[in-house]
Amino acid sequence: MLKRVVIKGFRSCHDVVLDDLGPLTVLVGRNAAGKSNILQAIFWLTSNATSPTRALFWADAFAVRNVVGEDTYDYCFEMKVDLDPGPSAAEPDITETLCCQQGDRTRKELFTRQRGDVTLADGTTARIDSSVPSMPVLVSVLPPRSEAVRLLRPLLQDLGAVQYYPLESDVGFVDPRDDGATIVTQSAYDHWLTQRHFTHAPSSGAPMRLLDMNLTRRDEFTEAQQLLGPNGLGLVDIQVEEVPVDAKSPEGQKRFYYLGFTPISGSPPNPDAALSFHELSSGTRRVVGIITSLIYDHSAVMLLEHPEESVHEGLLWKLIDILQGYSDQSQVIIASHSAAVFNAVPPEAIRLVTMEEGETKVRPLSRQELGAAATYLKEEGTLADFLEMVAED
Amino acid sequence: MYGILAEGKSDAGTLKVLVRKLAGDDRLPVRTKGYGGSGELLNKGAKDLGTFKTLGVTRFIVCQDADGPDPAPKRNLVTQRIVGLSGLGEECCIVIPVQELEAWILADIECASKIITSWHPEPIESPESIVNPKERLENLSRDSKRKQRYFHRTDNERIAAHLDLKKVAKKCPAFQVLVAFVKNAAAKRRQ
Repeated sequence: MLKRVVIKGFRSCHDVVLDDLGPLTVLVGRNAAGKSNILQAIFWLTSNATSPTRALFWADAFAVRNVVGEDTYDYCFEMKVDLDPGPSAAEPDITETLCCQQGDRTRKELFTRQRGDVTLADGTTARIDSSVPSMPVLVSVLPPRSEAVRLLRPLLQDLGAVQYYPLESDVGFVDPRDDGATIVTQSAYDHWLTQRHFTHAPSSGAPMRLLDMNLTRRDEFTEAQQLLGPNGLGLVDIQVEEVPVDAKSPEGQKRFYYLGFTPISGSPPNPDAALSFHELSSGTRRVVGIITSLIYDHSAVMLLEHPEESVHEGLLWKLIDILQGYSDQSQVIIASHSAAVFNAVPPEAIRLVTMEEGETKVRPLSRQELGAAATYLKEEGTLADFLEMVAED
Repeated sequence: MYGILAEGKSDAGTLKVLVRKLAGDDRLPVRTKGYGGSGELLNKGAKDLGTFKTLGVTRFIVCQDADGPDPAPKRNLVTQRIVGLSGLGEECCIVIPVQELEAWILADIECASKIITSWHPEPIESPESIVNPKERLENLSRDSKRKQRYFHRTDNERIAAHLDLKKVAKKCPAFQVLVAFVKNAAAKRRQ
């Protein structure tokens, strides 16, 4: 779980610090204050720091404190680029350090890096390409049973499982190859599986995730069905099944899957009224997408933009409750403008985001404001009303 | 017609189910208003009771969690800031669940398995003695992988439909206020 994030030199985030992060955080601020920049910075910087195939150039500095089980990791990255023409301009001045504190033990440095030179805690040195991050390289070249790899691997896994779900939800929740049909061919599914592994991103849609869960992770499929179905959010009844095909027919060697979504209307579900994912309303698609991603993606951190988009307030209220319930497994950081979202979370989860002279600033409610919020909530009004009074711009 | 004010939408929806169940009429007309917390309820409740009256409501219920073992302070607050200002009298019932409304769910927690089929909780004898019933329900519902199965905003209403109300009234004296109010109203209607 991310406890602290420092971002310097990423778009409008000149010096942004998010501290004391809990399982659920809500970024509150007007349009163009930089909420999306913060989410994108966290996503890009964590994925770049953990992927051996990505370059490291994204910000002037980035630091995270991440807790995995009982171990606390502090990862810092700094980069200075010499803009003067000359031989040194080609190689950026990169500094990386990683420290770890195991339980109550003393904090120790796992490695440091200056440009391409990495020094491990035991004094071993290695030279790596100046454009790639150290952590994935060290894990791939060091002995698998070494102390360094044992400590690095869980952090890599955790930071590598930070996922970003933007408002342009087609990227996150809708598969562009889904043409609106309720039938999916095996080849489309195979193609999606290949892409999913290749892209290492949640860029494919909810229907394929549901199909994959149905075929390979039945418990999780049932979990999604229950959360979205009549005894959960009461939104849709989902049926996924293989379509029987005459083996002697020309199509007999192929496999087809049926994915039907029946909106729940109070009367018993009618399978004949099933719709394809695309035929659902945008709000229903959004909630189905969020719940499906929550269960399927196993994200260490969900960076979620505006879950309120097209979603009814009453449903949103319940959705936030579910996200909170899962937040000890998938930490959630939300950017939102919705009073319903603010009113569904505790004041401690709020981070106020403002734009001051072209720079994004972030802060939690002060101790005094938290005290005032507690009294206000008890006696006067809602957290959304309170935040309106606290906002400084 | 009943009108229910509660500090959250989930509480309002749950009370609607309980009132209908107590009245033995699942089509009983009930209007509800759930707020974004107790502060909003206290501030807007009196005016909204008036609106309910204009809309034809004749029986009013205002519910606020005690957030502790003693319902008296919250009862006084609701009396002063909502019911007193509204000008309503006997037709208004103040319900203050000891701790939180979820204590009533804890009173017959076994029936939760009718909604969350993979969860089979053990009975709880003194639900009103549990300091944070909502959190207790969330923790009790966690499966072997520590996944939470109970979500109060989604599940309370549905679980309420299956509650054994006699059991709830026996274990939660605060619930008896609601029982008496609805039963009295039903008796008067029959007369």
